[in-house]
Amino acid sequence: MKSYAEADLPEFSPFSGDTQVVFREKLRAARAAGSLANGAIGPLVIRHEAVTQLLHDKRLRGPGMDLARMSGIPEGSRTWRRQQNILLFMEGEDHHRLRRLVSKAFTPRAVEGLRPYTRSVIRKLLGAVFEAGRCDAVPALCNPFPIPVICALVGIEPDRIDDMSRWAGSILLALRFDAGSFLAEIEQAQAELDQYIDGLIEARRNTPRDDLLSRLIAVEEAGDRLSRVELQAVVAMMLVAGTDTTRNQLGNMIHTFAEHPNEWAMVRARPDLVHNAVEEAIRWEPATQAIPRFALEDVEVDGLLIPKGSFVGLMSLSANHDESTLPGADRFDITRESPNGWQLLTFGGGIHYCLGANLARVELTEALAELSSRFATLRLDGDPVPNPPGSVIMGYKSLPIAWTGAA
Amino acid sequence: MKIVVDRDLCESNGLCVDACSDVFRLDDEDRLVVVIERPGDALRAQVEHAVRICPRQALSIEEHDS
Repeated sequence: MKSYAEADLPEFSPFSGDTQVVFREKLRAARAAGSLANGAIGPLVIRHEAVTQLLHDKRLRGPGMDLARMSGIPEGSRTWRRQQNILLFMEGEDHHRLRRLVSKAFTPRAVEGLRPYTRSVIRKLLGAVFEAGRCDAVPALCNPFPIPVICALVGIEPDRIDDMSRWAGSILLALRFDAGSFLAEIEQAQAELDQYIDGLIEARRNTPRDDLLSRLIAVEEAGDRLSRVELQAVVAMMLVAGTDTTRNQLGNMIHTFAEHPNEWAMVRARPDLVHNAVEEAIRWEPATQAIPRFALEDVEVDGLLIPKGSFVGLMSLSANHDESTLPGADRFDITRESPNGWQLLTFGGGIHYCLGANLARVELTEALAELSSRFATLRLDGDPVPNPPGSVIMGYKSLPIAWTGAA
Repeated sequence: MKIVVDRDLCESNGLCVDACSDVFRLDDEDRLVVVIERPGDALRAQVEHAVRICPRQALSIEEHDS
């Protein structure tokens, strides 16, 4: 069988610097030709049907520790050991066990309780800039939004939010392709976080509260429970998985609405559409453009061979916009009722399906509900600056917006 | 058809509830409850979708029940 690498496939580079609109157009053209494209480190799967199939295919696993190795994180370092306990990088029995224990503390109801606090966070951020009528949404609204919510969920004291932001900033460097060059900073932050969490575990063991850390300490199944190192790793994982994703997704949603004034007017007129509007915004401009997988065996797609050992990018961005499974996919439509059997791919799927999806939905619906009740109109106030080429998360480094206040 | 839940796999992500709220719901402690264990054919497409999108593949359909 002919290998995908020998076929004449469209090429996509994460370093092309294409704007999202150009990128989407190129993907649309590529989808017309087939399910595969060529990426920087392996094949990309771009059609919705193939992506959903491969997400549930046991011949593929998550990225494992290979990405950490490729990005220069030394084996045995603190950063390496923490990543070994991050669900996305785990497989098999270890993954199943940790995911089972963590998910018990992370159910829809557990995150639903965070709505009022989440709303107060976005309200406060907006209050600080509202009168000015304009701001850069990234530093003013998006960046400071997720960390207080995660702190509240985990049970971290409010006076440590600034420390957590600082640690998150450094620990997130571990996800860069050149993480090795930042090792000293990452290790320092991870050590400080571990030390703080240690103290917190001690405190919650003695006096449990209604928070995730207390629930994680308490979860026990057939005599199995989380060790101290695992608890530290879970908190680090929440920071890594829940910070960059949410703040970029919030920026993407604001960007999308700034470009669609009619839809903005509609969601303002009909607050019952907020939930649906968030689903559509997550589909339209997802923060995660590709889901990383690793082929454990040879896999065939469109009659082409993806050889065992390949890194495969399942392109959620492309699949979300695939008109062959979602009619009118090239339209941003907050009243959309997706057809039965259609699946949104921004949160992935299969055994690594985003454990924080319900939390992300709570955060984004509260943010949209607040913004849409305050801004009569919303528009771009200059050119948005996308994240630098090669970023794992898709979003904006700067997003100038302007609004008129609601009466 | 009869719906079977593998309780060892289910982790209450709630995607089945979104896919077919007539059949699936989460109880007060977020455990999955199958409201209609043997749904009629009118619900078949929705149930099959729920089975397909379960991240843990914890749901299955038994066809040959009496």
